[in-house]
Amino acid sequence: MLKLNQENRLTESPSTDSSLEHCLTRMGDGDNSALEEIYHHTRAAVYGYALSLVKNVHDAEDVLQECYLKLCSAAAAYRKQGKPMAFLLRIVRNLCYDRLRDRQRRESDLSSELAAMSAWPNLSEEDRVTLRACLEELRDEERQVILLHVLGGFRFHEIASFTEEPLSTVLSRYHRAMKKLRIQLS
Amino acid sequence: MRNREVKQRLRKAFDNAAPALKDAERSFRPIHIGEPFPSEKKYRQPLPRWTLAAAAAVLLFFCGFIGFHAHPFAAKSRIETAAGPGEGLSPTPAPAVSATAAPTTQPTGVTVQAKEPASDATLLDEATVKALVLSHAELTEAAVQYWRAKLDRENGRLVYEAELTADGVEFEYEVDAMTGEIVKCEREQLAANPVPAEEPIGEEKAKEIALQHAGVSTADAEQLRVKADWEDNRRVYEVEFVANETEYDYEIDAVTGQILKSEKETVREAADSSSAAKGSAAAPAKKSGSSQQSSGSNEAIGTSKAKEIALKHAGVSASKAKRLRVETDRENGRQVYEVEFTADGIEYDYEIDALTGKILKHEAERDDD
Repeated sequence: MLKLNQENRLTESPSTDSSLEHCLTRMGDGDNSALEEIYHHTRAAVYGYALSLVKNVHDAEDVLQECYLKLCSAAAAYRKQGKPMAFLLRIVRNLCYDRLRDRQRRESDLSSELAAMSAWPNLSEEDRVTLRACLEELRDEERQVILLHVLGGFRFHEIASFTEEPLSTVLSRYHRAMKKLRIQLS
Repeated sequence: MRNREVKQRLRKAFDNAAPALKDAERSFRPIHIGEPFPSEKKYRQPLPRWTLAAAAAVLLFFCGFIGFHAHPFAAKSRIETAAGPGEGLSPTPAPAVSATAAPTTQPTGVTVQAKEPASDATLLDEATVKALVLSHAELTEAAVQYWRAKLDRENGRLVYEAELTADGVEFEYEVDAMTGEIVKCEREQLAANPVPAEEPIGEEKAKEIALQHAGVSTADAEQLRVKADWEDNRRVYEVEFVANETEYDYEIDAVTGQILKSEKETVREAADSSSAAKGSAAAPAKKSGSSQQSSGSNEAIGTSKAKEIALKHAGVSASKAKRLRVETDRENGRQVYEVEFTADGIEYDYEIDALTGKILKHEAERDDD
């Protein structure tokens, strides 16, 4: 029973914690292919979360680069504790806060920003619509919950402790945001 | 559009939008100490090499200054801080450790000399620090029951704060991260009952204690997780589970079985109140919805029941279902459970009325992932 539950927990995340943890360990041992793998599994969460915090495409792209760079040097010091995604997104969050503090600016509106994405020309129309909906229609705190849950694979109570907010707040934001997205994307 | 599709589209869009890693960034620069775990409260910027060099220079200057002008005071403070475990000022040369690891109780002049390599700004790694501490405490690696070291900044210098227990004694060290100097050493005899003799009660027992306290049967507990952890130097089990729409969170002493912390959080109420806040429109819709139902009951069937209904309908046994998850959602003003799972390469997707248990929608498709 317990085993089954744990298995569910792992497989339901977009990228499993155990495989990420394994990659981090390999990185710590100097395995170069591990970074590629981690990047592949986590880039959506890292980029999405960074974008939701800095609200500036260039900064978010820089944060992504910095984040993986940082991960390279931090991997050797990483201690197994079962939450590599939280480890990674904390790095992202700290980088974003540094950036916001340094620049003393906060883009209030992402709509004019989207076209500046380096990948923008290669995105499908559907992807663009999805990004627009997520970045323009949701409120900041709703977007954060959505990204942490959907891209980061966090459970709601994990989001609550990550953002230091009550579980009920997280849940209501999630449901409200999901509803908005369903309407927007239909 | 379904929640699942929304999620898939989000994942795909952000995955495609994420910029490629720059080639230059792919080279590894593993440094041994890395950074402290980026915890929320104590996050520190990685220190550029020049910062370390500058810190070392300031430290050098400071030590030199004290050494020159106020030597008696310096000596006094040294005695206070370096009071060793039991035997006071034991000289602790750490043989076989790196050359930068300066002996603790050398005259200031010598210490300064030994610090010279610090201009190279290399931090000692944790293994070296451990070796230093163990030799200072006159312990062998095997005797250590608990060890934790973290990098910290103390009055502008980088130190390792190390905690260890061995033979019923708890040690707290502060070791200069660059010179290896032992800045602080404290020892404390732990309570009379010797720790090593105590056997942990085991995860099963911890689970049992938590469930019993919550008044929840094993069968009703979902997402049950037990994790062994350390909290304030004692071994604990963290037990988490969800039952009857409530999240339970326990912390149980691993040795005595005493419940140290218990938390309960209702999940469903929160979801309901959120929808109530959305406006009055949803409420009447729900009411009319439930009045249509023959059962007339206002009680939700619960996630485990919803799961059961879906599994039964699909003809899949609980043990075969993978990635099983249930979410409470609202569809046209009525509360529903979304049940998703895969079995034998087929992805099932159910929407079940939370009040009547009726299957509102079901899909099955081959899982291409």
